[in-house]
Amino acid sequence: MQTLPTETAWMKCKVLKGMFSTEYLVVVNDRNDNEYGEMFVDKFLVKLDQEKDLGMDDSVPGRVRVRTTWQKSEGSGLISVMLPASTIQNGRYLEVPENWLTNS
Amino acid sequence: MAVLSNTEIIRALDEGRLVIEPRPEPGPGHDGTPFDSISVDLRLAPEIYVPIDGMNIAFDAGKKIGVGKTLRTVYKTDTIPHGQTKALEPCEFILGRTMETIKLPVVENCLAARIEGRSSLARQGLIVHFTAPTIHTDFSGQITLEMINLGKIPIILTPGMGICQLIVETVVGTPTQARVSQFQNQRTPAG
Repeated sequence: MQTLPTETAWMKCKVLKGMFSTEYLVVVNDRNDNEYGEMFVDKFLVKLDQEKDLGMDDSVPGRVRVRTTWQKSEGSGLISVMLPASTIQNGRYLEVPENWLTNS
Repeated sequence: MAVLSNTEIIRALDEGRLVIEPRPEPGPGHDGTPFDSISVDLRLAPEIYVPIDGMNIAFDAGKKIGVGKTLRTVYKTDTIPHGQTKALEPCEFILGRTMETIKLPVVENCLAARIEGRSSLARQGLIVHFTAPTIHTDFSGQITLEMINLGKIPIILTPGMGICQLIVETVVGTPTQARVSQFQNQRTPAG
């Protein structure tokens, strides 16, 4: 397997109130936009699309920091990403549409 | 893989291959020095999470649906006030965190780490993690500790006390994400 240098990118996600005050609960989706998994992530790795003091039942769209090589899988238009942590339900790697990612 | 000596841990901090914020320095919480021969002590943060009694639910470990959301509801947050302590009773389980934020960036000669308890506290019956002590390359954040007192007498916890040790290891190669589609439909190791 070719090893390529990874770069930081920001991927769309859903952000909920975490447990500790310095973290969020982040929910990411798979390529079909179905829920892939949940992970607790420190706040500085997450950006909220709207500033909000999250209550237990709140969720807002946001972006979570991932790592990617920006290499598209042949024919699929999908890009592999490495999440900042392993999700509770699945692993740490998934392929997502390129337009889910931004540089900032 | 090799374990870093204290001098190599300091070199890694200087080079940015390991980030610990605030950087460990001798002072309160660190008796003399935070460094042992092959580890560095991390301190207990004031914020803890305590399981709520009497919850009439169960985690389905097989399905894992909504586990993250549920976890937030079966604990209550608490803070050990400055200058005060908390007695961890026999068989009491709480979640805690390190004061320090740890970062293991994906760079050339990158590093991984693991959390271990401190032997002095272990003799008193304190466990600070049950499983998964590994801190992966690319990790960024405070470390969550699963703490339980397996002794027969309470253990007094003070924010800022040395609570665990970080052991840092070299990584062979540079981690990258798995190219999932490359292995899709693979039947044998040969393809």
